[in-house]
Amino acid sequence: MTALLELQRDKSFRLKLILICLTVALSVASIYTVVSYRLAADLGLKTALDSLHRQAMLIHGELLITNKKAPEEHLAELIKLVYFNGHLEESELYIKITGPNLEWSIDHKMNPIEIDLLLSKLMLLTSTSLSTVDMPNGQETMSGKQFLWQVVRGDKYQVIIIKTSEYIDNTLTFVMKRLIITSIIVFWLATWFALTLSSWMNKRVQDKNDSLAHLATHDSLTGLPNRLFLANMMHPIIIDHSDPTYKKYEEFYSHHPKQGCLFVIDLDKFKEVNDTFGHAAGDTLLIKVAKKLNQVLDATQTLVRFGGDKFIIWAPEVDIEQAKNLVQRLIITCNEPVMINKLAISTGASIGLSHYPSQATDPESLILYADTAMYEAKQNRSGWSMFSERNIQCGRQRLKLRADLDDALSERQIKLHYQPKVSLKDGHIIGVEALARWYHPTDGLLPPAHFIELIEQSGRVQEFGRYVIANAIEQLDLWHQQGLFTPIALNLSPYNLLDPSLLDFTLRLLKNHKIEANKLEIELIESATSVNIEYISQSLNNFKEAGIKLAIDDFGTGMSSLSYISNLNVNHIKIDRSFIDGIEQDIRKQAVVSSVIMLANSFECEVIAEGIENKSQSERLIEMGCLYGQGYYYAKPMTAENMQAMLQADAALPL
Amino acid sequence: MKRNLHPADRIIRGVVGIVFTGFALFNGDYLEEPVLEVLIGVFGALNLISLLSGWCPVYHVAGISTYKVKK
Repeated sequence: MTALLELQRDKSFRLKLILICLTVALSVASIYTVVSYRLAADLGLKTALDSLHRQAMLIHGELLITNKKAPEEHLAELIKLVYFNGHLEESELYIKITGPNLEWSIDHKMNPIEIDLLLSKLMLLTSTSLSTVDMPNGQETMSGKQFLWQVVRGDKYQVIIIKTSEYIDNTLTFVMKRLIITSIIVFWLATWFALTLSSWMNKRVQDKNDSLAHLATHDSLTGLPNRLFLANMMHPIIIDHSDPTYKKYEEFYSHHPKQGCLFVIDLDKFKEVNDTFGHAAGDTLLIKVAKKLNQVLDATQTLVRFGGDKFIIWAPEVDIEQAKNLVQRLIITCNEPVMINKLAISTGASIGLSHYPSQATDPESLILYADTAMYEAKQNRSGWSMFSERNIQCGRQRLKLRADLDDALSERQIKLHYQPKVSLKDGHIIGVEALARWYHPTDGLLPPAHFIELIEQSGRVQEFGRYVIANAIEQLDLWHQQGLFTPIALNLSPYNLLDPSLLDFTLRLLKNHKIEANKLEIELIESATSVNIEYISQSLNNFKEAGIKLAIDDFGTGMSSLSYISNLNVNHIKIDRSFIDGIEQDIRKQAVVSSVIMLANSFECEVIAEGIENKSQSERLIEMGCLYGQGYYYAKPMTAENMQAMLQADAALPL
Repeated sequence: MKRNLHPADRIIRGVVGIVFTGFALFNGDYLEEPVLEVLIGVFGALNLISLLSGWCPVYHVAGISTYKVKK
């Protein structure tokens, strides 16, 4: 994640580009300078040698034409006219002419030792030459001086001219000043080019980086920043005080906030909207809610879509009191109805908040704590909740349990306990309800309230449903072998019924264990029907047709309509414990219970009263015509072994 | 035109500009090369513009400023 920030701050890219451009320019300039200097020098040398050749030929020709007996004087006159005429002075010159009866030489300012050395070298060079009429020439360097030499060998005479050369000086004066000026201008142009090109390329790369970074850090649907952005943003803002590099960062981020609040917002009815109106409507809802939430915030506060229907707000420099004010405004905003498909839908939201630095000093913990508080708010339907120390324990416990869930299923740590359902009149057991208990290796025995929600959130609902069904059927098989034929009722999550192959799975197991389908009963919480009412009622009917019994659990607490019960042909209706508690005195509760009994009678299904705790409740229910019941008055949930013992005793409850 | 040259940068450019322009105008024959003479003239003139306005077109295009950094 930090790499993303480094990408945005990459300054070295530009510097590298400039350096590359300048290096290329410098190399091009120096190659051209070297090559053109050498070219000019070669040209100069060739011209000088040509000229020397002609001078030697001229002297040789003069000797042939005049053809005097003693040509020394004539030669001296000629050399003087050619070389020492007042406007073309030679600095150093040596000429040697040999022929029949002629051995003449002239030395102008040249060192005799150098002459001897040069001549011996020339003799060596010319003697190795194959042709006798060869006219070799060349350049020799001696004691730091450049000498040009020419040998002309005719039939009668041989002419040798040696002189110092000025062509290098000439080349320097002619060429170098132009080359230097050109180099400066080329370098200037290259710098110009390098700066422009690098800034242009840098800008393009930066633009691409920015758009990539934007893509990576923003949600495409709402256009809000996403969790990656949040992590990037909060990492430098919030300093981990335990970090040894804290001091370094403290100077760097001297403006980091002294406190702040983090809000986790979860829309309550997003799932329902998605299921009912489709995903397009869900998307519209998210966009509209995001827009509305953003209007509540000021410029320093950041709204982030964390994923799904979860939003996070980071509000720096906000204390707990201000945060409580803000959260009220957020709740009001979320409760405002949103128009979707011409319907006003009020989604509502649960908000959890945590405070930096009093509760946590790193972003991950802040989010986790706010999330925990949000879950508490959701469970309590309180709208919002501030994170507290108690939640820390809760949150850690949740995390731990979530991690332990893998083992729970694979190592069969979750076992079924059984609570008998009895005939109220004689106390005989008519069936048992299976209740899941987690035998946690360190936390001991955990009731379903601690882990059912975790299972639903971790996407293992279907696995768990099958696990429970398989366990119940194995238990039925065991009891059958003991001659016990008590049916087992088990609670299924509505999400289990969305599993299309669950019925096949159940029937296959029943067949394998040779158990009749009517020994198994499925209890469904009434409110569960809100998930996907049509699909679930279809699924339940399939179970019913296969012979498996159905019951509605906690009847009277949910929100589903009576028409649902009228359509669904259930075997049992279980009246919720809240109606039984205090039924002896409360006339209203009696009225509800008796009308449920009437309703059940007309549907030809049986009523089971839940949560019977004493004899008077039991007697009152018998008077009202309720035949069956369940509760601590008769027996608490117990292990399979205890239940088996009780069944084998065939006792009348309560004992 | 927003200034983007630090005074030191401006002075260096001014000196370079005056030297080069002057060279091109009064001593251009020394080079025996008209192309170079024109180029040096342009180089000098651009530097003189930078001296007068405190603004460099290349810095402008490249998004560099020495004026801001050392205020």
